Amino acid sequence: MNVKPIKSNPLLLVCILALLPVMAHGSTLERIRTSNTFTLGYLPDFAPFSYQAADKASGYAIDLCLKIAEKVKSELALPALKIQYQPVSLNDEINAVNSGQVDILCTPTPPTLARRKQVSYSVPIYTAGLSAVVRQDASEALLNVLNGKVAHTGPTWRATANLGLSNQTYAAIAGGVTETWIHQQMRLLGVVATLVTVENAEAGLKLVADGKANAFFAERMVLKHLLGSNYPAGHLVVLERIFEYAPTAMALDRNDEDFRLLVDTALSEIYRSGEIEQAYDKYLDGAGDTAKKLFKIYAIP
Amino acid sequence: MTDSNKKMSLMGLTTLVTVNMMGSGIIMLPTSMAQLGAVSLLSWIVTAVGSMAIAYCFSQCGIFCLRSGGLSAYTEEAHAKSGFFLCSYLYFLSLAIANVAVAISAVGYMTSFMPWLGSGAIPLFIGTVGLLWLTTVANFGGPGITGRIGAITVWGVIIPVAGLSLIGWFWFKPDLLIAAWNPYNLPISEAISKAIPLTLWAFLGMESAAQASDAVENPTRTVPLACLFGTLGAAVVYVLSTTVIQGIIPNAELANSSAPFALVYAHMFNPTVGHIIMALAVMACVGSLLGWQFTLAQTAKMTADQGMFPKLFSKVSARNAPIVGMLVCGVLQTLMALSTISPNASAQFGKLVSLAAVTNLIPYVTAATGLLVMMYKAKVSAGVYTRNALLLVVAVAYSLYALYACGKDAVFGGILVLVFGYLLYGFLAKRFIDVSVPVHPRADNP
Repeated sequence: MNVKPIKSNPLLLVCILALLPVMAHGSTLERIRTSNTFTLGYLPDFAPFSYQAADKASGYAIDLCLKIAEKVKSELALPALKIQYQPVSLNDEINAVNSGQVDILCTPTPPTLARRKQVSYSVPIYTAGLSAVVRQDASEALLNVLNGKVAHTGPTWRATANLGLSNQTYAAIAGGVTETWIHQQMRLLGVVATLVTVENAEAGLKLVADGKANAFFAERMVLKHLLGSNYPAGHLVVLERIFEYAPTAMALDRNDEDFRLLVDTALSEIYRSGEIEQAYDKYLDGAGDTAKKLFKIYAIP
Repeated sequence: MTDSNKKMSLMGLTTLVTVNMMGSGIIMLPTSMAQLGAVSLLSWIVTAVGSMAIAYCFSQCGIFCLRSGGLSAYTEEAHAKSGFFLCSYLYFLSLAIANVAVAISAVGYMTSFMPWLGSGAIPLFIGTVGLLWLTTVANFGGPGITGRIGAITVWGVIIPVAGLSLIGWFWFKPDLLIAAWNPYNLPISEAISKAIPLTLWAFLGMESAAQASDAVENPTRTVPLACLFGTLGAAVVYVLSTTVIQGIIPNAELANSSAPFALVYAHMFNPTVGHIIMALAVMACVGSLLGWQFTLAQTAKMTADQGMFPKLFSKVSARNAPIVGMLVCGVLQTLMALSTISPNASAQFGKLVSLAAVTNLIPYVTAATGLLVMMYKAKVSAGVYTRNALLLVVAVAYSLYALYACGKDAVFGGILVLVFGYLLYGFLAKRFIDVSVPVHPRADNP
């Protein structure tokens, strides 16, 4: 029997093994069982994926987590399982999972090799798309470039005003995948631009709204949601184009294949049953064709 | 009219041609070339040779064609009166539109000194209209004054650009140029074909010598020489400056610079020098607008002299300046500048600017082909005929390629404008029936 090293008392382990000879339980499931509590970690300001709603959390990822909780309830036969919502910060999210402070990080994050050294991941729950917000009166040349077209199709002669493309300012959230990506792409986009970094999406949008940046790059749904709540007047628009796709998933304990299997089972069932589309409809403006194709790929048979 | 003080000298006209050509186009050229890599320098081989062929044809036309009218007069030799009108009409439209665009660009460059100009649509509009009228009024003093102002603003090209071509070599590092050669590892043929559009239209403006033939001393000598020297000078400076700069500034930095000449001078000396260079470049840009507004008014005047544009364009002041025509052009351009206020209108105006390149190029073909008739009339020797005809074919081939490369949207718009011109000429044509228009030699032509 392949038992992974666990942090709890070895004596307790012996007892558990004696009591449950059929299943080898990792630490997370055991923690849930002993505390009769399932602790959901989430970023409180990451709408529409996870956000604070009174003393509870809500959002797309929270709904999926609650479905996982149902699975935990039935698998562990704990009908009175309590759900505890534990907000975490962006800087601390991985550590919270790694240290066992939360059982699962509901808010989806893109798995990277660096993060995989500390935590493991569920199957993807959402395909993030990098997009950008611009002002409605952005120049045509800038829109062309950002939409992947040639900035300027006609002749380039002495009268071709290059107002649209000189001295652009792009903004991105500091330290993220986006910042690295923009640095690589800036030259290919064929514009003369400077990159500024901001703390969070609100700050980025404010730069664009105030005319201090020409475009702010971030995840498309996050941008859309923020625009809807903070800038309903429509002066800012999200580009239709998705620059890069990245599957995002829920982070969980690195040394716990059993819990991971349970989570992936629950998620795969959600994918196959069509419940995922309901969640998309509720929080993410519905699932497009690409998303639907990916549902089939993400679900483990 | 014969007072030479009111006319432009060979030096004045040559600087006018050079500044017209390079004034607004050169400022960002090193950046766009660096974005492709130093391999883009190879495109000069094609574009400089093709442009020199056109300039050569125009200068030959200037030698054989003794009447006033510039490109339109050259055109009439082979394509009759309607050719004259269409050439003037297309060229006039081209300049009227392009000058507004040059003013908008100039305001864009001025924002680094006057940030207010960049703070919104209204400041941009005010700046553009202000520049258009400034350069219109500065032309009221007549061609002599325009030439003298041009002799000052030309330093805005000479110091940053021509100066760099000379002294830049002391800072030149061959390994930087080699590293910048082909950063994306494109196949050479693909790199050249991508680079040609960067320099293809850089020589547009070489014809401004011919358009000023009414306003210069001894035009049969001055116009051909100014056309050749101006174009040759621009070619040498273009090639040298865009080469040397890529051996001074690392490619990545140059490709992301919004003021490459200021950057290179800041690198060679200090940032203050960089600012001064930027100010000089802006001055050259405004100077080129002055030259173009002059050329616009001259084109209208010469056409009105032939009875094809309203008479008001041909009225000149005591100082030989067609002031009324300039005022009309200024009003027309102010209306076009209104487009800067809304982003939609700006996009539409952008299409007009592309179309204007097409209506600038069609006259090249009609004018250059006039040379064939001129040579026939002048009974030139077979050797001269063959040489000129060969260069003419190169010039027309180059013009056709430049037209093709304008893209289908621009050519589409240009053709619509051209066909509309036939309607306009239809109303004028009766003026030229039965009357055999005598060829007037110029008053100052010996």
